[in-house]
Amino acid sequence: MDKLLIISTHAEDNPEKATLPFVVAVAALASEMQPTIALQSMGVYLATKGYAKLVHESSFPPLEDLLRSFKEGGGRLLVCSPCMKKRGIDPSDLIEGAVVVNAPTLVKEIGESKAVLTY
Amino acid sequence: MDKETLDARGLMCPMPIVKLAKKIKEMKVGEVLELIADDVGSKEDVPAWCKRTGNELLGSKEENGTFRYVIRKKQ
Repeated sequence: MDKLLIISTHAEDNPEKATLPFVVAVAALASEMQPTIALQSMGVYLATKGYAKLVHESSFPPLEDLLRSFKEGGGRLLVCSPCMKKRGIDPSDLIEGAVVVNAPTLVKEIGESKAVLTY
Repeated sequence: MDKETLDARGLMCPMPIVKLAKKIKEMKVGEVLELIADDVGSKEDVPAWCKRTGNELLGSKEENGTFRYVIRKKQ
């Protein structure tokens, strides 16, 4: 199955750009692809407990629903460790299934993916 | 020919494709589904999804802003 890596760098600062990676990832799951979303910069907030419900851009499903579909469909969620530290986010603050990583894991994912998108 | 129907009108992207994939998964190979949509983007999306997943788009038509697609489950 083709792998897709989506790098997401936004949260409430840009709800549309925070939502789009999950729109594409959920569509990819429905299209027999295996998506991974890597959260960097402000994007790491999306993996913290309770945050997703704060993001709902008009014309899109609520981010909370997309995140649920993404997880239920088997999507993988990676979270940038230094980006978390910079913002005082502890691994215990993250939702279930989120995996804390550094650049080497991302580089491995890039190498294994059919395409890499950045938002 | 009996066919299943999926009404995706009013759903926001990407939910029509999510519902379509789920519905097709529940069907048997060879069964036919009519998908009803109201987003103009579906004119590109549905053929692209069929091509990607190996299902067969038997036909499509547009009437007053409503799009109907007939899809046969292939695998």
